[in-house]
Amino acid sequence: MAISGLVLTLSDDDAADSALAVLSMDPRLTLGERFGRKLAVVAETPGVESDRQLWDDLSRTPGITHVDITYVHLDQVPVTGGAGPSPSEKTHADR
Amino acid sequence: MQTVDRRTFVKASAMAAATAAAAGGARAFSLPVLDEPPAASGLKWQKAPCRFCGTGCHVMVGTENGRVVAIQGDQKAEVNKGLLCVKGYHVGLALYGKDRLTTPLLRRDGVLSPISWEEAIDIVAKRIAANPKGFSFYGSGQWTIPEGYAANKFVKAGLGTNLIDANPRLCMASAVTGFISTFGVDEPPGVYDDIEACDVAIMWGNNMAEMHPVLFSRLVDRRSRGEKVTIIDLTTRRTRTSDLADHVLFFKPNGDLALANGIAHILIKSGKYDRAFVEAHCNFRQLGESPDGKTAPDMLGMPMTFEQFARAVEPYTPEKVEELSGVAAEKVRMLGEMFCRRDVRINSFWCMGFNQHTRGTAINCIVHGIHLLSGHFGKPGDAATSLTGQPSACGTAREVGTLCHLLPGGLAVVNPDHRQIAEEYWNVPAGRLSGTIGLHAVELFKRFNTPTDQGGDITTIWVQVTNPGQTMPNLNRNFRQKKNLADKFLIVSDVYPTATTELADLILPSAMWVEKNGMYGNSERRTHQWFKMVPPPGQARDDCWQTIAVSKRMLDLGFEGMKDKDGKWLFRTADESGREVPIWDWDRFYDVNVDERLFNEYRKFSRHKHKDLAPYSEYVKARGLRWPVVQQADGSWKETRWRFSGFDDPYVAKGKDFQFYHSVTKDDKALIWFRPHEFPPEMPDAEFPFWLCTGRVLEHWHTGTMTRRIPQLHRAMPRAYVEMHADDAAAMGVRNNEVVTIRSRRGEIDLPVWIGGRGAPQRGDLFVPFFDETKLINLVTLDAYDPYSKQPDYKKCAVAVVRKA
Repeated sequence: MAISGLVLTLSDDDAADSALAVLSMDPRLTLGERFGRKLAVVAETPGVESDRQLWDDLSRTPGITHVDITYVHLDQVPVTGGAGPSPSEKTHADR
Repeated sequence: MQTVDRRTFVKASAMAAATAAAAGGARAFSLPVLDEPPAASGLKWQKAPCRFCGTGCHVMVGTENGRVVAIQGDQKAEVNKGLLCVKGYHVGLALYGKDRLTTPLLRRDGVLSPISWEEAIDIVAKRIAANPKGFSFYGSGQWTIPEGYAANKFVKAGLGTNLIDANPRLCMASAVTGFISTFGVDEPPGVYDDIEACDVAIMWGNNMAEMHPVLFSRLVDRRSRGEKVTIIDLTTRRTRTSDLADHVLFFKPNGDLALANGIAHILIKSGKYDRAFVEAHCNFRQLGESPDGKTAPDMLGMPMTFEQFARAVEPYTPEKVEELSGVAAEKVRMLGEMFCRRDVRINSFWCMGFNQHTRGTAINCIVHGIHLLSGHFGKPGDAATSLTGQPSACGTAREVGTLCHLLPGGLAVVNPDHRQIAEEYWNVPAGRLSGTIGLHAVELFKRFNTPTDQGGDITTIWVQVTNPGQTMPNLNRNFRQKKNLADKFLIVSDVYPTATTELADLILPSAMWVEKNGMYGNSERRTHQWFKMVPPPGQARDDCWQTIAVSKRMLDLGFEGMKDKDGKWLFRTADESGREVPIWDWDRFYDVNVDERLFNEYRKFSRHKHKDLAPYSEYVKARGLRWPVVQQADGSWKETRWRFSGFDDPYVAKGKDFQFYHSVTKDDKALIWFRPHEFPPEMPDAEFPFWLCTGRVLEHWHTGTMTRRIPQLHRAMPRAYVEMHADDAAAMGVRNNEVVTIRSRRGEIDLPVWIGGRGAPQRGDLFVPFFDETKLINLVTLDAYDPYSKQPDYKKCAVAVVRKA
């Protein structure tokens, strides 16, 4: 289980409303209060990989201009395979 | 039921954090305070300082089934008051990268193969015993205090050499020489409380918003409470700190000395310096002549009168300062007039901008000097504050003295009386300790990377808790030559594969942070303690154990230096009945609290320079204590906030407002130095027309070996880049994200260009962060260093930008 607190920055055009509609349908998300362009969100996913996928999804959603992390819960993070640089960013261990 | 409760609690905490951040616009530097973790969460919560920077924030670490599963800001901690930056919130994940080192590895015929710990310890012990004068330890401010103390004792008492140095040489050494030159003793007089008490905060080349975000948050939070605090950002490039500053004064690289001298000029010319304070508490100082025309003059200099000082700063008129620094004369006047005021309290802050500077000692001294000259010193809010980059740069490197010229407690290897004190505490024969200063970091690695028959007399280095394969300046010369030198042997204790382990002959897997007991000391003289909470993975073991096990193996091999003068092992540890505990045996290492034994031995040293530490048990109870920690009549222990100030420092004689009791001039006075502006050793020219500055980013700590393995941080800042001014890019036809070659006289590296990114350099300047092991900017940097601190300048060298075909 990975639980993150996020702040989404919405765009200042009509796309923000579309984004809100998409977000409200996403079962991984609990939407909180909105302060201007800032929206508080809690994300719950099965693990780090899916948390990362969610991040990518949010970052690509029209009407969302920025995603900030404010809280992370690490419960049951796997020892291997979860953390670490992406495959395109090799570390010395990968060489 | 418990799982549901905890999930609900975690989600509520996450929402509270997100809501507070969204409401407060806290993005980019801090995160909000969370509620106390309830017992019902089912986790075990314990305190620890954050693993990363020198701020010294405390976190509450939630563990379950031998794993760290949650992190919260510690509301009981005075440093961070429950706040954490984005790195701190993710610190728990630093333990769980997929490629943790879990077994000793020996390189045979170029290939790393697993070996047993017994074999590894034997190899290290025999290698050192065979040539102790060709061996050096190299550590860092990431060593815990007991780890650093054990390594220091191993080298200085055990081997009888001073061949130990540490990464703070690359990080904080100029701050040390600045403090010693000014006050006769290291470390800041002030504390973080000054942040809440100042009216004006001056950032001297210090991007506090990204590098010490929790401290910056403490500062800007005052505005949200309706308080007025003026932030002045003196910088070579626009940063997130600039975004919240009232005044942003851009200066040319190396322009800082002129600017600070310009403030002294205005204070004296206007007659508004604090005459009473200066006459009562200060002497003036300047450098003497070089003894041979080559060697730098003595660091402690020679006296000068006030009149001579006034004449020395006379040329630094605002107009002249504008010419030298690029800061408009009217802005120089604004700054000088600020220091002339008695109705405001001024706190200066600096970090690597001053310290990684071939004139690092000089600029540290000048800024202390303008605070003394103006009387903006020693009162809450009136302070000159040097910040540190590593979690225990102060606590371990500077206080324990894991540097080639120091003994524990600020004592010096060249002082026979100090050596005698150390020999008594360590119970070694008189004359065991060497009075010859060892090799500082750059010279150490130069010798290691030089053929032995050509003066490269260092043949074995044992690196713990740091990554010189990424941080040494001019890596081609100072690290990579080793690859071609068959008789050199590099031992590296670390938690992940790094640019240093890439060339290691022997790799020892280490425990990290809450996988072991530990103590750190932060930037404000605060000593922290924590307990081991989870086991290290695989066969990873404490660095401290590794040092002790090698010492025991050397003892068994008959190496006399590992015995004290009574014939007992230097690290002999007994239980309460006096029976020896075999702490060299990993299975028995935690039978006693080795940290406590080492710390209580070390703290005896701390009293000689009035850096008194309390017994270990006091730190168990506290969220850190700031030294000197002095026992009161009722038996309690009291920390000290403002050193040298009569209202708070117990070592100031009764009735005195101030007393600099380690004064260089032995008259209880501090020194105000004149140090002139000088040009740096390398400047842009026709072939290399740009200035290069290197540094850090918010998401990554140091060389990124931990933070790049934390997905949330890595994806936020995945790779290094070069910041370039839009006009420079346009003049070359370079587009955003285009990959260019950054080339210097020493090396080159390809990087994508970022125009209008997080930071914005001035025309002719470039900035590259150093966290990315796949893009080593230190292949390019210059290894020239300050003549006193021996700290290299990572902020200024000349480079070219070359478009790729």
